[in-house]
Amino acid sequence: MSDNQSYIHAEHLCFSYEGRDGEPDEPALRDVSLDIARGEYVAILGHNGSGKSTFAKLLNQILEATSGKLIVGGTDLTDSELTEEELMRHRRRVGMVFQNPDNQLVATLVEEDVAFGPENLGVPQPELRRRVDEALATVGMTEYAGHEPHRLSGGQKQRVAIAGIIAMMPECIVFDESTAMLDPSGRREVLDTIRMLNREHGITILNITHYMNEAAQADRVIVINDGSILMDGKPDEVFERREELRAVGLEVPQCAELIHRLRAYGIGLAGEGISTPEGCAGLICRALGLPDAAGKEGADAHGTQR
Amino acid sequence: MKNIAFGQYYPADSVIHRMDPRAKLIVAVLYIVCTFLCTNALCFAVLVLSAVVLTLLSKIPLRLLLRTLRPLIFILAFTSLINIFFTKGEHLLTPESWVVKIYLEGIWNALFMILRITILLAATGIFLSFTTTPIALTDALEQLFSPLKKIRVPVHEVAMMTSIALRFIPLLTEETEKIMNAQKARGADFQSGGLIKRAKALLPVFIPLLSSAMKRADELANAMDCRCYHGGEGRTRLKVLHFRASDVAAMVLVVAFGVGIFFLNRLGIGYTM
Amino acid sequence: MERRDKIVLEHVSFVYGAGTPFEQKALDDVSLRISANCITGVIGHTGSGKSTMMNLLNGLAKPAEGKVYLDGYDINTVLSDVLEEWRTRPEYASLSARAAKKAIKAEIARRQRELCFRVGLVMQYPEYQLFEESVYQDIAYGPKNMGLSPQEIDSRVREAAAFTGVEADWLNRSPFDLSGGQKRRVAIAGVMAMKPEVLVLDEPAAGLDPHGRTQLFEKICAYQKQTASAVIIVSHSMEDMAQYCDEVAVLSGARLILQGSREEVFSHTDLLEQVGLDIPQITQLVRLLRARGVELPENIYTVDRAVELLRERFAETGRCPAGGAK
Repeated sequence: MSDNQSYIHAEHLCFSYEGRDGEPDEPALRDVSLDIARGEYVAILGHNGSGKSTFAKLLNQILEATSGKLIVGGTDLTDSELTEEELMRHRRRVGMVFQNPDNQLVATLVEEDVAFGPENLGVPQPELRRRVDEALATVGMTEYAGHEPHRLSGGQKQRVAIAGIIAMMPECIVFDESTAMLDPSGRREVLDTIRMLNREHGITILNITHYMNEAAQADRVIVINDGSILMDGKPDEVFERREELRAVGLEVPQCAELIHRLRAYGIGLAGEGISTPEGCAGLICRALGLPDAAGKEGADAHGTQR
Repeated sequence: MKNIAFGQYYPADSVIHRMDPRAKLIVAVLYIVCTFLCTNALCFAVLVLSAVVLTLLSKIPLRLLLRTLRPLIFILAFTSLINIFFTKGEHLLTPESWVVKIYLEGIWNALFMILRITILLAATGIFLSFTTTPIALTDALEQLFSPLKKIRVPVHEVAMMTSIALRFIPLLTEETEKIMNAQKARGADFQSGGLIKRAKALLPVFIPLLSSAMKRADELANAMDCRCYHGGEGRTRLKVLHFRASDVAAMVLVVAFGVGIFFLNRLGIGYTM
Repeated sequence: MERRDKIVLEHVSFVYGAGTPFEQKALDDVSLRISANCITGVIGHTGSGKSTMMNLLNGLAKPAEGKVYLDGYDINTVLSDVLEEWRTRPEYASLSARAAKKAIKAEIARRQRELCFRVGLVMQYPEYQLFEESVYQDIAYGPKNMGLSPQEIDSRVREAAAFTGVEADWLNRSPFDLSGGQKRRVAIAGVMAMKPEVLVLDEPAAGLDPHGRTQLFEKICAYQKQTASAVIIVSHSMEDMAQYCDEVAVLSGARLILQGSREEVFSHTDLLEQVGLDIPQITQLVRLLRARGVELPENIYTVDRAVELLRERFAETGRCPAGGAK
């Protein structure tokens, strides 16, 4: 079965929103085919309106594909006979964290909000209590269990939202621009949490974003433009293609920009590592003929993206 | 503004704060029934005494409790006057020749009425609004009325809506303030002019607020879907309310109190209504 | 160019929820000078007091202590000034106490609004304030409140629309039909149309994609050059501030910790990092390079400068071909 290799399998996926006159609008997704393996950490990049959020919404059946095939975790979401129960089971496995933290917290207390998902699933006590406590501990929000969500910072609210998903024991979490409304420290909190969930809990991650620095943290970057896949590869590979990215309204991170510009002056800076400051420092040091040891180390470590 | 919890909840640690909200609801209803059982002076004296004890137990400042009476002062005064001037009895206090006749019974009646309303309000304050958070109250109502689900009363849905409303009230208040400031910065004038002009001036606040509330509702619905919300059926709860011995004791006590009042009332000591 | 103060804050403090158990100091003894005819960046972490500060600039919020001057005039003396002025008027004596009070109140409100027109405020996520039936009417809302003539309003709407890149064919559409980024531009145009002497923007690019971000900042810069007004951008992104601001003030924990030219402020990278700001990625890279022995000054915060200096380094080692592309 192909399910063993790929967790998300999309084949010729298309989607159009319904226009005002009832006729379908310009397609938001055109012929998207991709495979994402279990445990992968994938960033999906694109400018506003590129179709990246539409793709996210298909993964959880908030929107239904117009045509094509979409299989997630063995559930065929494009099967017209998908039952309500199957959909529920699917949504438990594939959690979703949205952009505006205020609009996804349901309860008036942090711990009750985290419990909301498992309560819906009918998880009995004391298992329910244990799951809530564990989820809060995982995101480091235990001490806020009894707080009201509206008094938390943006980053904290998003962590509570993540805890609410973790408490349902998902296999995959989709982050739909979850950091767009946060300040740098909030963004860092969320990104560190995402990485930890992927590394330590083996959760498949799809981070939909327009921040290049965030994409650098992923194992794989998929660039979507105008509803179709433009690039698909490691962050280093994607950031090598600066001109193409720029043409679709995206910019490479400052460090990659620097390397590209130095290269344009004919300075030989070939090699990998363009996506992180550490990697870039390694490239430059080697080119300058400075001791390589530090450079090597920097290029290998995947780097804390700050 | 955003720092004040919605409602009148007064955070403190008292016997009454710690009670199960369902027990509080039941006790409050029974206690209010007791106030209606009273018709004579002795009974009212006991009732007032009990209210004082409850106030002390709840650790709520008396000043706060009395403040809830403020909006009712006019009605209280008005009905007292009616009672005083229009109750006919045997003990005439004013000289025979006066057109306006005041009887002792009228004064008693007015006093009883004031006491009854005061105690009624104090009881709801002590048992409900001041010592129970709105959300706990919603939970209590949902669980108490859950048998009604059998006859298709949407108990869970109503409770869910209430709790979501409670969650979003502080957010929307803040947002209203923000939008008002943004429009004031563009020269909006909310103060001058007549009623119609002022109402019109609020449109620039109302429309954005409405559109944002709709957007929020939409996103919240998506988020709830994604978290497998499918109504109240088959749901478990993180916080299951448990009656403790003290809750049962409180309910027994209030019933006993009611029975006591009932018999005390029959003795007919003091003025009787 | 001669430096002139447009706005001066003198020992300003501001407290939220004064007298309640939730009392919180949002600004603590802040003294700040904002120059005319340049872009000033106010950076700080969430909760540093930067958003509070901008609310004090048009008088809608009043400082608990201290003074806010606009062109040397204390904007919060409105009340006493009006009173004084009215007392000297001949008609004052003939008015009843009540009528006088009413007239004074109206005069204060009028001046308060005038202040709002002079110091234009663009709040965070300003697209939420759109409400009119058409984009045109929405941009015209401010100028209309100023009581301008229809011709003047029309020319201002078109001018402001051009400043922010609001296209002519959007003008008759409903603002609710536009995309998020387009709405943002309409909202900003709505404030620019009042032709304020000072334009204050709170996180104008929040949530926009990189392209939209760059575009918007470039439009704001062009606006500043063309109108020669004072522009204040409140943000937490050092990367953006480093690129677009002439002067920078840094707030942290309700206090002003740094202010000065961009060069001065950004030379204190360590301090900026200590207060929880994100230093630009390029500065991080420079730091890594310095640690490995590349000779570079510490305060590099733009890619342009880094390219320039690194080229020199490469030229010294003879690894950079002369001339080169670009």
